[in-house]
Amino acid sequence: MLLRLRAILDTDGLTDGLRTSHLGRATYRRDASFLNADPLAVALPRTVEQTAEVLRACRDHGIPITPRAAGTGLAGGATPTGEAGARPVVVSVARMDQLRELDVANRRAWVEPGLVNARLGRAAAAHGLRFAPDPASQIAATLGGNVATNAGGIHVLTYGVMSQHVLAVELMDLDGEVHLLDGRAPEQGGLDLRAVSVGGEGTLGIVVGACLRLLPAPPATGTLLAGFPSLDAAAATVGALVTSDRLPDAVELMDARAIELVEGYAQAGYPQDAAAVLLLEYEGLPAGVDAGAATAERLASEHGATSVVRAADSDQRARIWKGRKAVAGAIAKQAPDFYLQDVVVPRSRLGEMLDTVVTIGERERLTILNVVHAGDGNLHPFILFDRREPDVLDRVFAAGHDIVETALRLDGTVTGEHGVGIEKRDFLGQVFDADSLAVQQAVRDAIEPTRLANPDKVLPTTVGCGEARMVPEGAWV
Amino acid sequence: MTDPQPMSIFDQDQLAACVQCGFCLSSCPTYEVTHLEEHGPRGRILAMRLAEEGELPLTDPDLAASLTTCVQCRACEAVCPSLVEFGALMETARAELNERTPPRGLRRLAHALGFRALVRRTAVRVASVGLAVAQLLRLDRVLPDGVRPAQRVRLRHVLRRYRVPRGGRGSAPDDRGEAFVFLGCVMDGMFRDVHQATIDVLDAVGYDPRIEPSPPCCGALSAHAGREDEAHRMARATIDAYAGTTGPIVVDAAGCGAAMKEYGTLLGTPEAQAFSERVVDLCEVVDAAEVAAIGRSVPLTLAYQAPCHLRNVQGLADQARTLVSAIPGLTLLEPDDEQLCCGSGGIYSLEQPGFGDAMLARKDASLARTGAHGVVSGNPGCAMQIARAGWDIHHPAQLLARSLRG
Amino acid sequence: MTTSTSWEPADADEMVAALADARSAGQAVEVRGSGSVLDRIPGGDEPVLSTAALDGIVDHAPEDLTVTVRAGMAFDELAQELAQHGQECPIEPIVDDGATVGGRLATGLAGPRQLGAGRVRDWVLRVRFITGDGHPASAGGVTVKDVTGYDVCRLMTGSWGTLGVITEVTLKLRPIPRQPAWFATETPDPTVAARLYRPAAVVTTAERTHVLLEEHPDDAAAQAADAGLEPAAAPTFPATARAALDPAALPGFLAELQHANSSPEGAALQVTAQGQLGLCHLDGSADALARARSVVERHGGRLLVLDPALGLAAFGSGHAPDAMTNRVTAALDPDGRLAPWRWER
Repeated sequence: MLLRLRAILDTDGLTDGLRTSHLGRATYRRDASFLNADPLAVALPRTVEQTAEVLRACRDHGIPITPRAAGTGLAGGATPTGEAGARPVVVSVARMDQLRELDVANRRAWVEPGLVNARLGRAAAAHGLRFAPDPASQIAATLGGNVATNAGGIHVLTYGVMSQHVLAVELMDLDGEVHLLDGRAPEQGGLDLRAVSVGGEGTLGIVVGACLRLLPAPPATGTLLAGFPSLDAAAATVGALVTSDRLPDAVELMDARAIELVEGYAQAGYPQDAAAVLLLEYEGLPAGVDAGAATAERLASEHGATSVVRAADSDQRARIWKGRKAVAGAIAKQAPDFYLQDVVVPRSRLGEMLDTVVTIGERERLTILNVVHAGDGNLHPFILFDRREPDVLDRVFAAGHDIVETALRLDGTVTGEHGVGIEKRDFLGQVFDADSLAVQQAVRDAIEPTRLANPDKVLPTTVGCGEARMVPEGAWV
Repeated sequence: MTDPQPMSIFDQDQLAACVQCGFCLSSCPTYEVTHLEEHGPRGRILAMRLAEEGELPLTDPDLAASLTTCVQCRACEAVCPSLVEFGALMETARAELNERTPPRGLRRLAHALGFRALVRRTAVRVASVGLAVAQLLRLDRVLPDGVRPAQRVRLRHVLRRYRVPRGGRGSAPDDRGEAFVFLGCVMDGMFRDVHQATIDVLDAVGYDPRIEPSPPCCGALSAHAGREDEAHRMARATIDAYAGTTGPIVVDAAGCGAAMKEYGTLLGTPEAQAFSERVVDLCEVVDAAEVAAIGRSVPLTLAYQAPCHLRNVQGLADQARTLVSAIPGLTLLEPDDEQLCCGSGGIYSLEQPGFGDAMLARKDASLARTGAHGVVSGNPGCAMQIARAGWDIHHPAQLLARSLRG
Repeated sequence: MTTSTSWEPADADEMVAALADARSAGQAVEVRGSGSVLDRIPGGDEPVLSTAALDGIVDHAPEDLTVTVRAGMAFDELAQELAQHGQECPIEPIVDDGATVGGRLATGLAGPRQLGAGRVRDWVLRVRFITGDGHPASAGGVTVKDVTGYDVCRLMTGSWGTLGVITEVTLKLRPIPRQPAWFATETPDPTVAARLYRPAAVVTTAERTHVLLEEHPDDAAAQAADAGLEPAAAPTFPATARAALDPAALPGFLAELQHANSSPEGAALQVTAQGQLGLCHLDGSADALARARSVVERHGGRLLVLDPALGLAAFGSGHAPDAMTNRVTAALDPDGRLAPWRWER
């Protein structure tokens, strides 16, 4: 089997496309989540043809595959687990990283799966275009990974998630056959299999190409920062904003702990006395942006905002965003580790959800920062810890579990943009009833009948898996 | 091989700081060559952890290769959300590796001769003159490609003596006080024309330039190679040499400047810290607005290459770029490679020719796409590497001198 | 349309029972909303499962920008309800023809505003449906962001009733644009579109380019001036057939149509194009549309014919399902109870 893979892939020196050594495998045990498992080997095909041959080889030997690109996922989607202890071959598409075609006239791009999100953004910007999905990991995350996880970002409220920007997907099945799903025309009058492959998390095959929609870059931008005396006041403002006559394009909320930490680190000029800040952005044509910003200023004041600042220039705008973007750095100064959660609730339940997160943090004696895509009701609580502290992981995972349970209780769901992977898989039984889960399984099996593509992910299995270790031996999580 | 044991080599807090998010991957020039985790910062930190934990010995061939293929450009530090001090971790790893598997055979000889020569000014000069003569006689062709320096070393540059205008005899009144030009090793041997340009620029903007004292080498190459003690000795010698002087120490080689700005952390003494605070890059003491106002036209179309240690360690790439583009008549183009490392990395291009060449090829292609006629680079290592691809290299000091010289 | 049997269940449970009835009779069924589309494609004499009795809003949460409605509710009624709160779901049909919300989803056909607003599938958050083998199921959730499980919501959208009987839908909403206004110019589409920032709709007829601007009135005025637009009435659409193809292939397709049109035997075709969407509406004789279909399919697109009197199939050979589509259909409707004839008519 490994010999066959070796024959398929370049194996000379630098271009070595198959790693079976201890270190080579160890470096692919996990993505950016805490979940670890040891792969059988790591294959890095350079072409679609090589990928097809690798998949056929795995199929012939009944060996599962775990697709991977940059490995920046947070839910263990790229952690190489197999059912009943089978060790998968990690198939990394990172070497297929070209921008195949930038079709400026039709505002779209054909990309290889390993192309980094931000690189497409830069290429598009040269033509006055942009690629809207902007997950926080966009400097390293690949578009193949973004397709596989149906990634989000801070502009989802008006621009929509990844799926809205994916015109077509080239999905390779375990026979190595490439299916062009949907295509570039709308309303093809057939099933939208493209939609299922977006967010398939590698369980339906490997994304070997995609056609993505580009949008014109906005001519004007209005950015505001508003401080509030309570989380409820900020949450109520969000409610008023989304029912006003123009939706903001980004609504980010940070709580007092996040503000305090970030301000001490990045000096972004956030109001220190505020219990919450809202960071708002309007994009588009100038009069609409001005009108939106004016509405936001008024609504924030009406809901008791203690300060409202509108950025006068790009420097000030950059400073306002600096605080939001410095969250991870600020956390690093505070604690070596964090567990980043991802849950969604209906916007009207946001205040309640935030209050409960605070209570959970107090109960588990953990610092939890709330950074929220508030316009979408999508919370990202950062749970801070130091793994060297005894028993801390139990409390961290208990807190994470309770946050998810709370979201479910408030009619929310278990993941808004990070994906299910392994992390959230066992919650799916609470999200869906048996019949709905059966539909999910049936769709999966119809598209990928071999059950070799990223087994053990997304849907709960009846066969116990448990091969992924939340904490590997050694203390490194 | 004996069973690996847990070790305690690394700073535990630093090793723990990495959360394995992977944001660093696209900034890493060696990851961009192979797209293998073990050739990216996240994988290298994992390798260090495996060694620290005793899961794999540091001398495991794959593990050692993972660590020694790092070019130490430190671009990963600049993008790391968790502020991991990767450079320091990597220097620790290199030092430990050197101790366990010292270079052997020819490599050992080269290291022994090379690193010793750095501290002896005459040795560097003799080598430089030798190279210039060899190039003149085309004797350098006997050297294999990759080892043969492509940088054209001209005898008249190597043999030139510095012209240092003194108190008032220069072109501008010296109202900004003394400024010390750090000559260093390779720069002084092969790039005397750059130093001369730096002297002239300092003079033109109102400094009283000095070239003494002239300690032999900043020790940066030793530090990167894991020759820790040697690096410490050189740092102390450099600091001692400037004792009793005040005023900025102006460095026109980005790698030297970066190392000297980190003496404070390297040696951990208040004296070293105070010294580091005196160290400035040339771009920090020349005002772009002044150049735009008084400079003469330098009608060239050039691509800007930001030396890694200027961009990632000193954080001055934007400032340097702004300064050079302020020169009247000069068109400065930006390559589309996100300023990834050219593969020079001190002696990296010699030690890891496979990676070095791949990185150079990428750099070369990106420079070519700009349509520029030459390249601006402020570091000797980068200059020599990029010259191998056939580019004319202009040091910012030379361009500024051409614009500002009376 | 005459029907041998029909059911009009009042809720999901009755829907399950109705499906069981049909199953025990060994019958496949046609799921029908208002019939605004089904009546325009060739039908047979199959039993009909009507969603007409599944009416009304279940829950409208203005602050959440979501609404949950039963599948049989008329879309224009829903639109009126939402408008009272200053909200809308911009997936209206091409003409006001009484379409139901469920029908909107099942066909996935939308009007010209999908250029700015996105497709029908992008507005669907949750779908409750009964599978072909009679199981009530749901997909998606009531939050605007949700990547929990496979995106079966979008899969149901445009599946033309072949995967399940949609009983209830949760839609994403947005504020109604305050002053939408149609403009027109004689400048061709690509030139106009290049001067506009994200227009809500662009429709090209033989003579003019029509543009819908929904921005702030000051912005709309500035945009109109830049692009040389004059205020105009909304364009009307030919309603006989609808072509969908790669936007890049559209100019070639239109050129070929024009050529055919100008030849003596070419019956006149009325064509309205939405270039950036790759959509075209056509009116014409059966012969002309048959020729148009072959041209569309040659360009990799598909033509939907919405007039059974013409004697043409609604779906062309371009719609023939591939193996993966058949497997997915069989997964949700294993016994082929839900309009198994769909793509053949």
